[in-house]
Amino acid sequence: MTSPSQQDRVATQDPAEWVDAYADRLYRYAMVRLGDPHAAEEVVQETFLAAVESQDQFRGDGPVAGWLMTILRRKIIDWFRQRQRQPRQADASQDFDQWLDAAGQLRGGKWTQVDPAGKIELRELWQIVQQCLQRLPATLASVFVLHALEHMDSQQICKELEISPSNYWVRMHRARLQLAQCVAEKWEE
Amino acid sequence: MNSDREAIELISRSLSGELSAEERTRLRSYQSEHEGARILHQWMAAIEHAAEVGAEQTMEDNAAGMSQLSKERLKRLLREREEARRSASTSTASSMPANAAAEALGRVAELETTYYTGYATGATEKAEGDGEQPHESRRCDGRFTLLQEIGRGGLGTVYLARDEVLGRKVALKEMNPAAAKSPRLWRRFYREAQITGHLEHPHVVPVYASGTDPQTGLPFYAMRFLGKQTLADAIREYHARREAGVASKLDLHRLLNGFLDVCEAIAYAHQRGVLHRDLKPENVALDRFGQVVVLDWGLAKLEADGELLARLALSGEDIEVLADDRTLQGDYLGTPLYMAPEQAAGDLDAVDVRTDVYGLGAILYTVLTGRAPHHQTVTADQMRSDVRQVMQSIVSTPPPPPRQINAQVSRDLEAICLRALSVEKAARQRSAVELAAEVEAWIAGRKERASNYEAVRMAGHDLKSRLCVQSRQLGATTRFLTELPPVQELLVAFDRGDPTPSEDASAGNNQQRLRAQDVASPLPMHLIENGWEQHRQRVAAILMAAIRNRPSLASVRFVLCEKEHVRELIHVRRGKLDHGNIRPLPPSQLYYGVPGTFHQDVLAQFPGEPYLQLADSPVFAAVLQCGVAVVDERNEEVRGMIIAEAELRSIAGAETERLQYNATIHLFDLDGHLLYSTGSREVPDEQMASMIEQRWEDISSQLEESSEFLDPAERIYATRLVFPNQNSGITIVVSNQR
Repeated sequence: MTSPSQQDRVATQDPAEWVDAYADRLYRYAMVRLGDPHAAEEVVQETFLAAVESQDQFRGDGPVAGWLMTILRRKIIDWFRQRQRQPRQADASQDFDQWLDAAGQLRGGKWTQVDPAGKIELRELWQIVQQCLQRLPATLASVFVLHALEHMDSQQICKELEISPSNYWVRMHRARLQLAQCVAEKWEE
Repeated sequence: MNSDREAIELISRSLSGELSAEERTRLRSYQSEHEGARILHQWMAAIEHAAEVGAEQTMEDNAAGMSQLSKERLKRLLREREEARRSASTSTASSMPANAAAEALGRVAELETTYYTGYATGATEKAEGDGEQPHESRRCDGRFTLLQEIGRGGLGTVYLARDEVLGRKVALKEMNPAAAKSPRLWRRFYREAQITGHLEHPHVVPVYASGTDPQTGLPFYAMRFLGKQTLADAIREYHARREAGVASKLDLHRLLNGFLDVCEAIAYAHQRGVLHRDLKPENVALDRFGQVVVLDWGLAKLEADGELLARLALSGEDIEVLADDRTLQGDYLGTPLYMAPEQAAGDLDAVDVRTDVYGLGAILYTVLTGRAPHHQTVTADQMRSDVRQVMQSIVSTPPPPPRQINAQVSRDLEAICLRALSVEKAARQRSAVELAAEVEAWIAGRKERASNYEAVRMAGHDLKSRLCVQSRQLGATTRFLTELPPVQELLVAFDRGDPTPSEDASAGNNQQRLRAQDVASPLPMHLIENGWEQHRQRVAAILMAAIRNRPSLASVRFVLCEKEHVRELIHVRRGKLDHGNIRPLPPSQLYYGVPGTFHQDVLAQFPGEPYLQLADSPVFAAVLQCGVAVVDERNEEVRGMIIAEAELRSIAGAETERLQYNATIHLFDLDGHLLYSTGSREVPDEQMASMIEQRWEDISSQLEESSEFLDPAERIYATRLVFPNQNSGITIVVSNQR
C-alpha cells in the first residue's frame, strides 16, 4: 500500500476526483478569508478549472494539495483585486473621522479590557472577528485579510492590489479600528 | 502626540512591525496617560492574534465544507472541461506527427473502451446493475458507435453515441435484452419510439432514427443529445442558492419561463392527441442554451380519437399496439412523487388532459418549493414499505401549500399551483394552455411591480448619490475660497493695519467702508484708519462671484476668530425673493459674538477639512452649511473660517429635475421634518407627506439598521444621507406616482 504522501503525488486521470479529495479543504480556506460561501465556491471552482487547464504543467514534485492551494491563494488575491475595481457610491459616512470626536479623541464610552485568556475565549473571539470581517467593506477587508491571514507584507499587498503605500495605510488603520470597535461591542453583548 | 488619531496610526503600524524606536517610545508614553488608546491597542493585537490562530484552527476543526450539490456540479463541469480539452488535442491529430497522432487516437479508443458498457455479445445473461466490464466498442445498426452509457432504466439503456454518417453526437436508447423478452415491454418501447418520433416541436426531443439492430436484434432509437442537466438539477441549484440567500428574482423567472416552455410542448402534444402521463422535472432536459426539451414519452398514451393515432394508422403503423393501453393495466403509471390522483387510483380511463395538467402543476410545485408534491407522503417511514398506502394517500390528500415550505412564494402563484394540483380533475385548469396563461399573467404583473419598485429604488439611489456629490462640491468650493491669496492678504492687513489708503477715501464714498460706529463692537481703530477696507472689498467681490457662478449657493461668509469671540468680516448673500440680487450685508448686520456650536465644530476639523451639516436658516429655510477653517500661512494658526450655505430646495430641485424617473421626492431631516417635496398633481404633497410622517418610526428604525426602507406595497422607498457629524442628515423618500 502506498504512503499518503506518495498517493498525494500520484496525478489522477480524472480531475473530478480532486473534488472529493480536496474541495472541502480549499473551500474552508477560502471561506475563512472571504467570509462568503458563494465567493468561496466561486474561487474554489476557478481553482479547479485552472488546475485542469494547467495539469500538464504540474511537475509532480510536490503534493497535489499544495499545488491546488497555491492556485487558490492566487484566485483569492484576484478576487480581492476585482472587488476594489467595482464602483462605490460616494457616501459621507465612510470617513475615518466618524470614529473620532471634534478633539480627535475616540468616541464612545469606556472600552472594556481585553482578556482573551485560554483557548475557549480565543475561539469565541475568532468567531466574533469573522462576523466583523464580513461587515467590513471589501477595500478594507482585503488589506486586513492579506496581511493577517495570508501573512503578506505591505509592499506585497500594495503590489497585488495595485494601491499606493499611503492608500494601504489609510485602509489598514480604518480596518483595524473598525474591527476593534465591532469586536469590542459584540464581546460586550 | 496630541490625539488618539495619531496614536491609532502608530498602533496600526506597530502591529505591522513598521514603527521606529522613537515612534515606539512616543506611543508608549501616550498610552501611559491615555487608557483608551492602551485598551484599543490590546483589542487590535488580540484581533490579529485571533485571526492568525483562529484561521488555522478552523482548518483543523473540520468546519463545514462545500455542499454535496456544489461538488456534483463542479465535478460535472470539470469532466466537461477535461473532455473538451482532450477533444481539442485529438482534433489536431491529423496534423500531428504520426507517433503523436497515434497516441491521441489511442486515447480516444481508450475512452471508448473505458466508458462502453454495452452488450457487445448480445448475451442476455448480462443483467442490469452489472458493473462495467471491458468491452470493445461496437456499432449499432452499422451507423452509430456507442461511446458511453449515460442512463439506464428498466426498459432501455441510453448511450452517448456518434452518428458516423452525419458525424455528430446523439443519444441512443436501446432496449435492454431482458426487457425485450417481454412482448408487453417490447410494445411499450415501440410506442415510445413512434410517439417521440412523430412529435415535432422545439421543446420535444427530436428523433433522428429508429429501428432494430441486426446484430443484437434489439430495438433502438436515436435522438438529439442534450447533455446531462435536467430541470430537476436547475431547480435544486436554485433552491440551494435561495437558502444561501444569494438567489435573485431573475433565477426564479428563468425557471418559470422554462416551465412555460414545458406547458407549450405538452399543449402541442395534447393537440395531437398525445398524453405524456409521466411529467416530472427529471424528464425535462436543458440543452446547452438553457432551452427545455421534454423527454421520456415512454408512458405516453395516444388518444383513440387523436390526430397522431389517425396519422400513424394511415402510414401503416400497427395501431393496435400503439393504441392498446391494456398492456399497462395493473401497473402504476408514473412516478409516485408526481403522480396524479387518478393515476394513483389506477383508473386509466380517467386519465386525460387534466392528468397532464396535474403533472405540470407538480413541476411548478417543485420549482416553487424544491420538493415534489408528494415528497412528504412518499418519504414517510411508515409508507415506504406499503405502496398501496402511498397511493391511497395521493388519491385523497392534497399536497401541503407551497408557502408552508417556502414562505417567499407569492400567494397568487401558490393559488395557481394548488389549483392545478386539485384532487378533483374538474377543479384544475382545463388545459396546459390555461395553466400557462395564468402563470404568464402572474409574471407580467410581477414585472410591472418590479419595474415600479426598481424605478423608485433607482431614483432614491440616484438622488442620494447626487446630493452626496453636491455636498462634496460645496466642501470643495468652500475650501478653495479659503486658499485664495486675497484671504491671506486680508489677514495680514488686519494684523498689520495696512497703510494702503482706500481708493474711495478721497471721494468720500463711505457707503461700503466699515465704520467703527456701524458694528456691534468697535473694530480696532487702526483698521478703520489704515484702509484695510480695500482688501475686504476685494474678498467680498470674490465671494459674490462664487455665488454668481453656483446657482445653488445662497450665501458665503468670512468669519474671523478672536480670543473669545467670532466676528463676521464679510457676508454676501442672494436676495430672498430676487435670487439674482447678490449683495454684501451692511456692517450693521454682520455678526459679532460668542462662537456657536457650528463655529466650534468647524474649528475642530483639520485644516482644509470641510465640516458639513444640514441647518435651518432664517432666510432660506433648510440649507447645507459648510465651514472650512482658514489658516494663517505665516504661523499656521487657525484664524477664522469661510462658511458657505447652499439652499437645499435649490439643490434638490435641480437634482430631482435631472432624475429620469416618474416619482415623487420628499426630503426630511433626521427627525422627520419635511424639508422639500416635488409633489405631483395626482397625489397632493400633503397626503403623501402625512402618510410618511405616520410611518416615520418604521422608516427611521429600519434606516438605522440598513441603508434602505421599502414599503411592502412597494410604493415608498427611503434611504438616508448622513453627514460625518452624525447629528444631521437628509432622509430621502421616493414614492411611485400613481
